[in-house]
Amino acid sequence: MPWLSLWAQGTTVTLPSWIQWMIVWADPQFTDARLLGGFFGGFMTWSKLLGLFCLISWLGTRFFNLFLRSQQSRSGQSVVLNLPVIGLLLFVGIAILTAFLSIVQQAAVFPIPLIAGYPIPALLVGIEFLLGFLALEAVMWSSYRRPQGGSASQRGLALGVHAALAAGVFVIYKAFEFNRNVRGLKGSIASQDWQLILTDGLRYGATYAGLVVLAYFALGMFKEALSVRWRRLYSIAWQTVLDAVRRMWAPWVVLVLFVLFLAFTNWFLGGPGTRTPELARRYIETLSWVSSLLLSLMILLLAPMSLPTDIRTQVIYTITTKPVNRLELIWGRLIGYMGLITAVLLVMGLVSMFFVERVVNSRISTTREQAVASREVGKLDDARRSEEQAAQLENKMSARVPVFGFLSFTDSRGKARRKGIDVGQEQKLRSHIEGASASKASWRFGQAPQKEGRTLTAENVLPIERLLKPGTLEAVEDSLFRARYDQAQIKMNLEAPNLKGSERRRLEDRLTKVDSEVKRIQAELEPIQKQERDLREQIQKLEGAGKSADLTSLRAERDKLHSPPIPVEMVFNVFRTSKGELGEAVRASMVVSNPLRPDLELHRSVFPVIEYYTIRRFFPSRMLVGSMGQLAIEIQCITPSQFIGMSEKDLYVLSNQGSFRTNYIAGLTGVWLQALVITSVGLFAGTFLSWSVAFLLTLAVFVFGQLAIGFLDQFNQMGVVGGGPFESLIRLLTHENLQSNLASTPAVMAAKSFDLFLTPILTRLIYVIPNISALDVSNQVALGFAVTTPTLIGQVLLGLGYALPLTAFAYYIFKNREIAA
Amino acid sequence: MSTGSSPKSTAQTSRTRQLVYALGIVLIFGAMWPYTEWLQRRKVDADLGEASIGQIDGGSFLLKLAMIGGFRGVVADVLWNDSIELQKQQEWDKLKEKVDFITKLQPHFLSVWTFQGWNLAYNVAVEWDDPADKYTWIKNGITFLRQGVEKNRRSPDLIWDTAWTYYHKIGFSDEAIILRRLFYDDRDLEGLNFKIDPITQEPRDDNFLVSKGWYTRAIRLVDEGVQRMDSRLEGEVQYVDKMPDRKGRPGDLNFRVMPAHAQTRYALSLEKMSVKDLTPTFGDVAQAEWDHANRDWKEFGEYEFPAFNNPDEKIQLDLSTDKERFKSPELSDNQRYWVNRWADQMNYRYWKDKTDAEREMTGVLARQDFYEGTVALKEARFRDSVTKYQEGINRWQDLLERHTVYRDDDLNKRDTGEIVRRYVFALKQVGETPPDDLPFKELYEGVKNEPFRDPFDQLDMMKLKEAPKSAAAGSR
Amino acid sequence: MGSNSIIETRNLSKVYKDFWGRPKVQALKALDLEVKQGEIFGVLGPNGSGKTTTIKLLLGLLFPSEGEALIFGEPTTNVAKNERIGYLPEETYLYKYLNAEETLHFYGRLFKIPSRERTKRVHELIDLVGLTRSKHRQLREYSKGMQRRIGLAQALINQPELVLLDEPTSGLDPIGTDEIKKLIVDLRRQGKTVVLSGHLLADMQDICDRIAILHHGELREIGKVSDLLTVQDITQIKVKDLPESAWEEIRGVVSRHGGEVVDVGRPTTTLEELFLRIVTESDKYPGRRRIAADQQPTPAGSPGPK
Repeated sequence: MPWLSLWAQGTTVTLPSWIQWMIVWADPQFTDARLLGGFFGGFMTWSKLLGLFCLISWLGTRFFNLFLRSQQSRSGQSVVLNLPVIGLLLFVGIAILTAFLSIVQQAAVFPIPLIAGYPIPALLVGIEFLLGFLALEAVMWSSYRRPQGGSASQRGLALGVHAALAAGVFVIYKAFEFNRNVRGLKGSIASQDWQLILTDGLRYGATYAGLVVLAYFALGMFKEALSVRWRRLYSIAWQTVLDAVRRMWAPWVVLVLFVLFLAFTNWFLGGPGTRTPELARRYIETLSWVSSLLLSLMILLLAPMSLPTDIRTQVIYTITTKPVNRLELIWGRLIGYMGLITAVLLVMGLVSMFFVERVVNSRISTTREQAVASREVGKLDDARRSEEQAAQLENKMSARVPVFGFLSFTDSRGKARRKGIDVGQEQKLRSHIEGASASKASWRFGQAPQKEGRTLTAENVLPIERLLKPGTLEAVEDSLFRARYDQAQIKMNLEAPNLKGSERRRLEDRLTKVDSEVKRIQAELEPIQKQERDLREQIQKLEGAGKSADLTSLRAERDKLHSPPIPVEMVFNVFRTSKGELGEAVRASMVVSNPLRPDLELHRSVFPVIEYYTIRRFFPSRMLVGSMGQLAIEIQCITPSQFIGMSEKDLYVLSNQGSFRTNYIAGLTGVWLQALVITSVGLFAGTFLSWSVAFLLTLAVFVFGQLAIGFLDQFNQMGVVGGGPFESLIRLLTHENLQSNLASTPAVMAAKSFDLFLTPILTRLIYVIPNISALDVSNQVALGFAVTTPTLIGQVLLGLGYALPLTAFAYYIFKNREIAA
Repeated sequence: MSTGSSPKSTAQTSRTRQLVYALGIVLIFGAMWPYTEWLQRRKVDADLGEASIGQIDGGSFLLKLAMIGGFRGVVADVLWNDSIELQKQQEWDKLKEKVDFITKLQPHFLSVWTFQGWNLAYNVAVEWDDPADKYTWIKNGITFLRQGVEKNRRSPDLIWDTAWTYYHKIGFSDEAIILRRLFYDDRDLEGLNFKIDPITQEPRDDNFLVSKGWYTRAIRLVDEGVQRMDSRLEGEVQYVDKMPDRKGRPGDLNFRVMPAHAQTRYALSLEKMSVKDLTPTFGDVAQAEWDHANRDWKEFGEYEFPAFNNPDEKIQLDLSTDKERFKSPELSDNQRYWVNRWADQMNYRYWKDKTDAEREMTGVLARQDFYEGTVALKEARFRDSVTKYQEGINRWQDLLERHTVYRDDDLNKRDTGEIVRRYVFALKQVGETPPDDLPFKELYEGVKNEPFRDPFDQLDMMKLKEAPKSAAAGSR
Repeated sequence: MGSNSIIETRNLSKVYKDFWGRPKVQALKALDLEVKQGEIFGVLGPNGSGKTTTIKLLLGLLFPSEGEALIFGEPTTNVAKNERIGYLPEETYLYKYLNAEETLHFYGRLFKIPSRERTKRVHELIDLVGLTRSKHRQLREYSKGMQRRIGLAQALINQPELVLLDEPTSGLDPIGTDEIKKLIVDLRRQGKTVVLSGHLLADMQDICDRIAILHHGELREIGKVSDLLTVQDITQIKVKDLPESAWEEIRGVVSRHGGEVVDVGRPTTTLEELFLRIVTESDKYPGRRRIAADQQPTPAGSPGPK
């Protein structure tokens, strides 16, 4: 779609908004990240994909029923070859033939004859479309003719799908037409373009049809969900829990294994080599990995087996003959298992939390004792080092909320750059700035750089109300500035030329209100400033006289007036070109400035950079007065001929440092969501598979969810070097490496054509397999960062995004399945 | 079994069948006993068995059990790839965890130990900027190698590599002065007995001495091994992964020379501020160490190496310094050829003559004079510096008369030239002109305009925190 | 559909097919049936005659291949109608790890019954089916008979208007069977409709109003029990205290009127009645043992059991 990409590059002339909106809704790749902070974009992609799956499964089942019904002709004995079967074989045969011919065309082994001006593969594609269309019509038509085949809603659905396809073609035609007008082309549209419009139109139409089918199923589900009663859910859930506890002893086995692991941690986490700052990360990561593994194993044994065993022991008869609909049965089971998981997870979470705290606190106290011991012996830098190690570990045992800025560099000649100097390290994230030169790294908080098209999120604006303690000098000054900004804003609006009367009056009385506000704040500010001034004079007098006794109390009193200094944390790596002063650390300087208040005196501080350690510096809270959440921090390396490396997320302002415990419990939601996804996969598989196959399917999804996502991602974005599965099979057998392209022998071409056929299906697999590892937040907890509510909401939505459709599919399968068959 | 046989006989046949089965079971169990004996012996020979129960590593046992045999290799490969990836992302601690995991799976895979031990001590240590962190990672690397030695007690390679890392990485890296100080202060709280000399079994404060202990242990293992397995070390014993350049083969010169080097290096660094803020030691302690070094070199010289092309002919490097025995008729030309060749290759004559010279009291006193002369120079006490240098140079001149090989060596020429340069500099400060019969005049001319700073002497390399007390005669 | 007919099937048939949809077994052929409100309707037939398939089709456990079945006028897939239905399956399929009370509460909660009412009804039912002593033991420790009883209890938890019992008496001792029969009759008295399926003809005979006999999936016979069982050409007269000598006289009278005497003799009680009498007596006088007649030297010709 070359001309469509014209639009995608954001040309000056944009399509009318409704076409844009329709296109965004048509293609799973496009999404709109602006609304609701990206959540709506996620929802759109989710619903488009779900729609496509619903469409495929609906058409698939209709086709399968049609296929079955045609098999069983009037006379009762089976007829193998008839229209649908022939159609199917033809369709698949042509598809492979087309793939084969297009490969041959690429390999240009022998020329492909043209028929009536079109190369054979193109013709075959045309036939394919025709066949596909005919099959679609046959399926749709079957729901018309047979009264028994489809109720009125089925017919409505079939109509809806047709309408959607037509809409797809219409949208493409409109976009194409708009584009032609823009480029001033006239005359009828060439047949070549018609083919293009038709193919893209049908593809867009398919997505719309998917959405229609999704709406239909969702409506059915919604009606069903209305009749769900908590009483019945609770009854089924309670029975599930009793069954899991009494029959399988599931929770006891898991807890015993967990305690066993805790008792012998030194076998696994052992080894004295764990450095003190890393201790917390190591224990937390391992413990959360173990608990998620044990929980998943428990669920792997329970969920896939629950429905099949009930069906096998026919207990399901007595239940389904009660007024309980199949959705309640599945959701009741899900709630039962999730209740069990929550209980076991809480126990494991609390036990491991206290275990980690005990281990880490004992290590902190021993390190601190070492520091005191070496200070007594006079080894000062040993003492400093031990204290540093202890501080690093303690810092990690908390829930820090970072505020990130946008990083930009200036090189040694003062020119602005997006990336610093690359010193040839394999990791590409960090780039470096040169010591003793004009090059510096500057972080801009509160405002996104325009040209890079970065969007400003809540993570980038400094929360002034939390950083400035209310009632202190800085807080009141800040509120004064805010009031003054409002004042200036209103005045500016008032001067606007064609201002309506009502608008003017509204602005004027707002102005009077703001003026009184300014006076009130000034009145509140005077006494604090006076008190702070005479305190400062007293301190200066006393400092002169050198009496330190009541100096400290005065200073304490003055500090109470000011809000506490703001912590900034940074992690850099150091690249030395020369050894420099042996044992001397590389020094860096930090300059903090308030972009909105150039009058404010800059804050400078110089500090040694200890590589890979979290360096914590402070800047006075006065820098934030009147900053509206904006700030600029610049880092420069002072030691000559040395380099400091940093990436955007390496420097952040700490807006809050919450408690480790709440953060640890919040971290458990990651494990809980993983269990939720696995349970819903297990229940889904249990509805139509025997228990052993269901178990294997769930196990496969669990394992691939953790390991294969990386590969599938890579496979999806840029395809795998060395071709698809069949081609790599040939490479394996002939010991070819990945890069060399294979001689185009018939076998290779056949393999390539199969790949061409297979790869799109494989790439779509990424949407089917739930990305279980993405649900995990334990590494944030391990590194001591807070699991903020937006991340939690995102994770929960992701988890539900997987779990709900699965239960819906399970419901539809379970409903259409004969219990007693 | 005839049909319709009376019930009593069927019971009777079933009883005999039970008897036969019981007998079979007893037999099989009986056969188990000698087999396990034979297996145990084979395991001990091939150093594959976990030697003693106490030494069983629970984690490794459980993991091997879980992986049930063949699967171990696959998991180890996956972990290996992960560790390489982690190293790229500079996740050092996770790298170490992954590597610990691999060794739990494959405790007898030698190249895992040698490669990752080296990787931790050299590659990861160099990435850290603060010397104390460098020291932590070197210590991790060495501890890792020593765990490897625990698991493979009969592998001279691992023992030699451990010694080499103690000797080279702590002794010769750029921050050697600070690292040796950290080693000196290390109180080994984790109980790794990191500073224990494997021969004397008590801790030592100098990494060269500890490395010498490890080198000797490796050589002793090979010597024992040689007696017992003799030629088998070469052929029949199949280690899990046979390293092509297996250390400690009979003709391996570098393997045997290291204790002498370590001892020489120790003596040399005694007479310098080679450990941060620690004054050098002279007097009879230094002399004893040099004497010990000389004896080590002689011992190395007297060892009978098999000639490369004819293992029956024995080659002793010491012959290269003893003219009469070198010419004596019993020696074949081939032996003479190899003695000369290997002596040059190991620079045996120089090292023997150097230790011989330095162990004389005049040598030690000269070194002391030079040290005090440089200290006076640093503290601008030029008059004292001149007198010290004059005294030292005279002693040095008289000493070198008797040790021509040591004198003619380039390294020594440059050192002496540098000392004379500083002497001339001190003279200028005092306002005197260097006498025309200045000893080692030609050496001074050669070095005059490129001042040389000894990288392993704090006086040259670092600012002194407080002026070092005068050279203590006490031992260290 | 009749004004008060509870169940109605039109041309209901079921063909079991394999995965590829090729038909395997014709389980039921064109069944047209109607069950009125308040009657006990029996479905008889040898094993594999389609009885259970019919019940399952009625309950929506199977989907009909042809025709349709309506209960309370609703199609089988409608879930709300289950509120008024009770079902005791062929085998008692209940959770083995719940005890009797928990089971009944589990099923009870699936209906719109207030919790207090439900607890009262649970205790009533447990007493009714005689499981009071073992109500806290898990079902896996129950005997086959006790499982049938708890199965029946779960079928009646919601005081259903229509009760379908699939071979309710199989596996029960005569006392249990008798109690069940009394219970079913009592249900009819309360105006409920009961559909029984089974092959123990004797039990069915006593309590069913109307019966249908199925064979090889086809309805062979349907109608009132009484009509079906009367053998038209035989009349039976029971006489008390008639000496055997009078038998010849009677034979003469019958032949004079053109009839033919088929059989004359003393009626014997059924083993079941004997068994019931002994057990009830032993309940009344526990401990006293009465030795059977033939072991005691008693004068010949003592009167037979009443």
